Amino acid sequence: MSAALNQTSDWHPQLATALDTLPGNNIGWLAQRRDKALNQFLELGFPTRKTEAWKYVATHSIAQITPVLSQNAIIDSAQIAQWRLDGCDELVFVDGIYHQSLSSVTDNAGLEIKNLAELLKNSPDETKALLSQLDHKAHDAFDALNQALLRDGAVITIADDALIERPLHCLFVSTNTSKAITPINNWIFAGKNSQCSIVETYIGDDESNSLTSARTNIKLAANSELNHYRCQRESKQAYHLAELQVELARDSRYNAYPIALGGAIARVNVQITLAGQNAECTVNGLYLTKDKQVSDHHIKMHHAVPHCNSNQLFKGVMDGASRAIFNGLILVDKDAQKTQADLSNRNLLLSKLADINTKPELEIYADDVKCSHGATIGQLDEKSIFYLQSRGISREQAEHLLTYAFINDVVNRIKLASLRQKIASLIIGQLPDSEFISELV
Amino acid sequence: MLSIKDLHVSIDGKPILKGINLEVKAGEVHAIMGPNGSGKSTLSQLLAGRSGYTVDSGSVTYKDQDLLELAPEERSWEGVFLAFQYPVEIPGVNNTYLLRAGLNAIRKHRGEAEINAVDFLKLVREKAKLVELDESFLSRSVNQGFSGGEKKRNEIFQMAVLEPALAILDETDSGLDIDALRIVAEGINKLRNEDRAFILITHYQRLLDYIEPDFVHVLADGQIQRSGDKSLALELEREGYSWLDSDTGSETDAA
Repeated sequence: MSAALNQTSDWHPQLATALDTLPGNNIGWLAQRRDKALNQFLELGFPTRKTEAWKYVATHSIAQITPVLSQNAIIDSAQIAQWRLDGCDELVFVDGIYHQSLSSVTDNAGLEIKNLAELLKNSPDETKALLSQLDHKAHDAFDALNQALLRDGAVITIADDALIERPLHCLFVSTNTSKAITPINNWIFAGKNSQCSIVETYIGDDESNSLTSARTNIKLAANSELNHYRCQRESKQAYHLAELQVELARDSRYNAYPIALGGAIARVNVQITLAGQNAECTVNGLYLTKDKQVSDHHIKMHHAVPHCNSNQLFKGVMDGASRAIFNGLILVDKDAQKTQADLSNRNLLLSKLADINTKPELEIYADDVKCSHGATIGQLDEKSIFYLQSRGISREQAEHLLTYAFINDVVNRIKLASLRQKIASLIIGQLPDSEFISELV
Repeated sequence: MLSIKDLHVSIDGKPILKGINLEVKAGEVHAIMGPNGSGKSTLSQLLAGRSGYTVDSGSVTYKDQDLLELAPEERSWEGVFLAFQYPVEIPGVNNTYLLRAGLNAIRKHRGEAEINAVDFLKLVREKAKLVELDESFLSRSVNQGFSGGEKKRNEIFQMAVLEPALAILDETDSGLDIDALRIVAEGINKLRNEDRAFILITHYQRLLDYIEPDFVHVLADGQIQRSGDKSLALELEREGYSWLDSDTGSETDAA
C-alpha cells in the first residue's frame, strides 16, 4: 500500500471548521448532536480490511477525500432533464442542497414534503422531535461522519390513510470536482394505512469526484405500504456510501429496489427491522460493475417478531477488473416464530479479472421458521448461447442478449413504468449491441 | 445437399463417431435410429455447430461448402436448422422477437430486406397454427415455463418460420403423448417439399408411422450399421437392436 493511511484525526481541524458553517449551528441540541457524532468519528477511526464489514473494500482511497463540504453549484434545468421522471413530483438536490427552482411539487393532499435545512431554520424544536423518532448509534466512522455533517435532505411525511398516487422522485445530483464531502439525510414517515411510492436517484456529472454520504431513515406505521426505489449512477470517480434504515410496524409492506450502477466505490448498508407482526418486506436489488468499480452491499434483515415475511433477490453482473461484495444476513430473534425469510444472490462474471465475494448468512434463534438463502456465481450458459446461435444470432450478440436477460429479470420487477423504462434503457445503453437487445426483450 | 464422408469425432479423446458416411439430397427424408449412446445426438449437434467436439478425420460438405468451418449462426444463415432434443429456456428473451431477429439475420445474409412487423406477425400467426401453438406462447420468454410437448412444438414452429433447407430433428418425438406426436408430425409433413431435406433422429419407430422416410439408417457404436427404406424401421420394431453387436448398445449417451 503506497498511500499513507489517513487517520480520522487528520480530518479533525477541517471538519471542525466545516461544522461551524453548517446551518443551525446555533441550535443547542443540533450542535451537540453533531459534536457527539464528530467525536464518534474520531474514536472509531477509518475502517480497515481488518474490519469484517469492510474486508473487501480499500477504504484508504476513500480517506483521500478532502474533508470539506461540497458547496451548492449552479446548474440549469437542462442539465438534469434526462434524469427527470414523468408523472412524478420532484425534489432536486444539487451537491446535497435543496434547489427549489429545479423542483416541482404539486399540492398533494396527505403528503408533506420538506427539506431538512428549511425545517431546522423554521421549526427546530419540531425537527428535534421528528428526528428522535428514528435515532441510531453510528456503527462506523463513515456513518458517524454523515451524522456530524447533518445538513440537508428530504423529510417526507405521509399522513395516516393517505393514498398517494403520484410518486415522489428525489433527485440528488453530484457536480463537485474537488473531492469534497456531500452529506445527505432523508427521513420518510409513512402513516397508518398509507400508500406511497418514492424514488431516490443519485446521479453524478462525469467529472464529479466527491464523496456522497447518504442516509435514509424510514418508518412505516401499521398497515402502510411503501415502494422505495433507490437508483445510484454516480460518476466513475465518485464515492458513494449509503445507509438505509427501515422499521416496519405491524401489517406494513415495504418493497425496496436498490439499484447500483455507478461510483468508484459504492457501498449500501441496509438495516431492515420487521418490528410488528405480519409485516412484509421484499427487496429486488441489482448491481452492475465494470472497469475498476467496487460495489458493496451489506443487508441485514432483522425479524424481531413472529409472522413476518421477507423475500430478497439480488443480482449482480461484474465485468472488467471490477469487484462486488454482497453480504446478506437474515437475523431471526428467539420470539420471531413463523418467520418466512428467503434470500437469493445471483452473480454473473463476464471477465476473468472480475470478482465477487458473496456471503449470505442465517442467524436463527427461533425454532419454527422457514428460511432459505443461496448464492450463485456463474458465467453465461454455453447451451443458451448455442441455442441462440442456431437460430441465427451471432455469438457476440447472443452473449450481450443473455447478459441483459439476466439483468432484465430484476428490472422487470420495477412497478413504476417510467422508472423501469429509464433503468432499462440506461443499462441497455451501457451494453454493446444496445439497439439489437432493445428489440428482443 | 449434405455429404458426410468417413467422419470420425471424439469428445475429450473418447471416439464417439467412428466413420460416418451419409448422403442427403434435397427433398429427402432420412431417419437415423439407434440405441442410446450410439452417437445420434453427437451427429446432430455437430452438424449444427456445437463446440466441444473434435473432428479427427473425415469431412462434412453442405451446399459445396465445408460445413465444419462455419460458425453455428453461419450455418443457420445457410439454411441448417436443429430442433433441439432439450430446447433451452431463456428467461427475459421474447420468443417472437428472437425469431424475427433470426429470420432477419437469415434474410440479410441472402441479401433480402428485413421483414416488416405486420408481415412478420401474419407469418408467425399462420405458422403457429401449423403446430397448434396457442398465440399466448408468442409473447412469452423463449421456452420458459413451457411443458415438454410445448417446447417441441415451439421447435417445429421456429423451423416453420425460418424455413431451413436442411432440418435436423433431434428426438423431437421423444416424450410426446400421441396427440402431441400427431401434431408435430403433421407440422413436419406440411413442411416437406422438394427443396428441403430432413434428418430425423429418433429412438422410436412410432414417429415413422406418421412421417414416411425415404431412407432409414441404423447408427450404433459410432457407425451406420445398416441403411434401407422404411421397411428397415419395421424390422427394427419387430426385432429391436439385439441383432447388433451386444456390447455396442450399452454405452452411455455421450452427447
